[in-house]
Amino acid sequence: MRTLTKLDNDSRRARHELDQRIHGAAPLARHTVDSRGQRQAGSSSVHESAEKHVTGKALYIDDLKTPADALHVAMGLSPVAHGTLTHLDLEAVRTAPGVVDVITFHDVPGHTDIGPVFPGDPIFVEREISYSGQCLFAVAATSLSAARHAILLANVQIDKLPAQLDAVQAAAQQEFVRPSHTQQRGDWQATLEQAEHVLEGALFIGGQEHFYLEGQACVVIPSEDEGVMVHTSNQHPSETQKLVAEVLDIPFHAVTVEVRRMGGGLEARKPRHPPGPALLPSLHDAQARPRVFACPDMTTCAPLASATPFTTAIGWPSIHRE
Amino acid sequence: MATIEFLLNGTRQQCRVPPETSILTLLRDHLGATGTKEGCASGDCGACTVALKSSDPDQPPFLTVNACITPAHQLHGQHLVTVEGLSQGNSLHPAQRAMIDCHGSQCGFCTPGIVMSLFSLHTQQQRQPAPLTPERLEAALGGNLCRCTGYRPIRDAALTMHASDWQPPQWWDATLADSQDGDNSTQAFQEGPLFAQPSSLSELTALRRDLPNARLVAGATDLWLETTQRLAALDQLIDTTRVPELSMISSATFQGQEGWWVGAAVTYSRLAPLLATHFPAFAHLLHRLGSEQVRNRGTLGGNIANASPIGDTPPVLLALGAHLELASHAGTRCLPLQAFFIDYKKTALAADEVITRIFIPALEKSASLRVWKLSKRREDDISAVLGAFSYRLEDGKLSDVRIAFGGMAATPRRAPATEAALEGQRVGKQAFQAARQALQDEFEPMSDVRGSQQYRQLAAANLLERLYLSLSSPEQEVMLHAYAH
Repeated sequence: MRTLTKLDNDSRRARHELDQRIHGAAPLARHTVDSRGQRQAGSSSVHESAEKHVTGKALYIDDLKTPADALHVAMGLSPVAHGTLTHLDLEAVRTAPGVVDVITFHDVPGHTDIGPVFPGDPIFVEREISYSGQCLFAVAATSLSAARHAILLANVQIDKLPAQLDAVQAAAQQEFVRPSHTQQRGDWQATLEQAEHVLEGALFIGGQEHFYLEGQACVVIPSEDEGVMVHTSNQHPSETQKLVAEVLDIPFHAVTVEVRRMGGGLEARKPRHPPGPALLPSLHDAQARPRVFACPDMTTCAPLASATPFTTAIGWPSIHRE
Repeated sequence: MATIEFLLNGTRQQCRVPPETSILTLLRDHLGATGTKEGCASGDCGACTVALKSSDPDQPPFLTVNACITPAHQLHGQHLVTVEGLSQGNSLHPAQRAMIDCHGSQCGFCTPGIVMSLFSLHTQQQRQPAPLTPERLEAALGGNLCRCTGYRPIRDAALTMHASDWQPPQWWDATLADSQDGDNSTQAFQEGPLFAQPSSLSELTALRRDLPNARLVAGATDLWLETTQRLAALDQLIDTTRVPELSMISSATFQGQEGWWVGAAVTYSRLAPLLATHFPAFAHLLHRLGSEQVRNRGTLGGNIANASPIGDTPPVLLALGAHLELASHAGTRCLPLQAFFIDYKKTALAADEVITRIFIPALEKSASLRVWKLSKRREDDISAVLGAFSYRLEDGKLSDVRIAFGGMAATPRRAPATEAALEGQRVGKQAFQAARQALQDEFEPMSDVRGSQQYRQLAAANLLERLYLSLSSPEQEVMLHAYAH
């Protein structure tokens, strides 16, 4: 068994070797074959999970064995992109077969804002709806099917407001998600003006709906001292820990988060935080049963993971020197 | 509720599940076999690909299907192979070995589905080796949406799956011979949930008479989305796939025309060889219809009965002048396909009727068929516009012109005014100019996510233009056949 000391020595030696290569006579890239003819760089290693991937043994969230008394959670989502929630009658949802609990904005014990970097992303709609698919309420039931069917029974009334869906138009009307931000270096205006040739153009990049083959999913298991163990398919476990603790109003140390692997998404699972892990534990249940959340259909999956559309105009000098 | 008895990777399973249970739900929730993944739950992504052993010598040994939209009850008596069954201890199947060696997995979620598609391809190669052309690879993998690992590693895996030292597992030839017949009763005395599997036409029509609210199911490639996506209750189902009369293809003469009767429950995959021989343009369309997983399940009768305005085969069948045979307990009747489509999703099928078979007339001498489908993706996508053109060309003159479009009206529809503008005319700018105008006047397509009204009008007119160009300079036809080179 490797000890920590050994590991340290190994890595120190490796770093030294690398340093020698970088500062040796030739560039690193040429050092691809060592004295024994062994390729060092440019040779491939097998993915550590490859064999598990191809045999179906790699476990994703929805594959985890959950306790028999686990509750399944589904979310009621806004059908409109912009509006005011005027009435939310969930009586029929509450009394639907298999339903154990229903929660809304007002049931959240701690923070209601789960914006990971900047504030402004409420875990549930309180009144103002600002995007299609925004979470209105959540249901915990004895099966996923029961939870999904119960969602359909909600009596939701929304005053629809005009939605700005065009990034160019929004920019013209000064409707920004975040304050404008400029990054600049040198006197680019003067450089452009003095350039002999200038090419200018606009590039429009539409918003992408990220659809990962593994939908948003998490499993939350209550642990001792009123803590929770969260298994989630999300790129930022420490952020999840922070948000879950804040939403539940419990200390950070009471929240443990495990991300074993993710089914797709990778880079794109980051920009917005799926509300699932944070809202699940908020569903109170006298027996403190574990909760499972998985989005099996595209209608509930897509809105939870979207990238904002943006447009960019680029002007650049093509400086032609005689 | 009926008991389903089937083989799962050689092991006998007996299950009792509600009618709307999919194979995927059965595997993951009831049998704890989580190697098969749920991606889209719509049959689009292929993450849940599994294989069904085929006893038809004209079909591949194992047919891939999307487990998420395949009814579990149709497993009765079948042999299901999943990703868990491919490896034996540490010995991996060549498809699995090749995917590892070629670095074909990244996050791995879609990988079991890709492995199953490659497994099916491998078994085909074992039975009858044939060149793995780009077209074949595209067809074999077209139903597996995710390629974020990269196309090349997965293609390399497909090209390097070597079979030399691999032996099929012992359970390969296991059968259910010693098992009891299931109690999948076809008697209509049942109230409540039912997945009836009639084995004759008379049983089928009797069920149809007695259970007017039950839904007919064959390949389920469209129907099943109603439960996975819209949570509709599919609790009374009548399976048409075990009725021999609905599964036959036979050559025949009907109303003086030579042709073929094709059973309504014949899958696209089973239809493919006939089309390849007699209607190459129709056969080519099949490559663009759904995916291998969908073509192994979807049926010609289902595509017609569904009556979607963007179904792929109805415009072609309209252009070919196909007829339908409908049956009820009282008897059978025939009608031309164009009389079948009445309005959006409304057909001439009575509540107690089923489509039994479709008559496809052979192309007469000097007759041709052209089919062009426009969609955003090449594989596994729905048409924005589909144009089908059949005509005779003799001495530069067009006759027997039949033109039909999908995506241009509330139903798949003939274009009579456009046809009239070309009938008896010489192939020339003038005739096609008139046809273009007629086409413009006789359709008013709608705008939706697949195309705006304007786009559809223009696209349909351009397909007509393409026909003109193909006819006026036959050596210059432009047709994209495959990407993966």
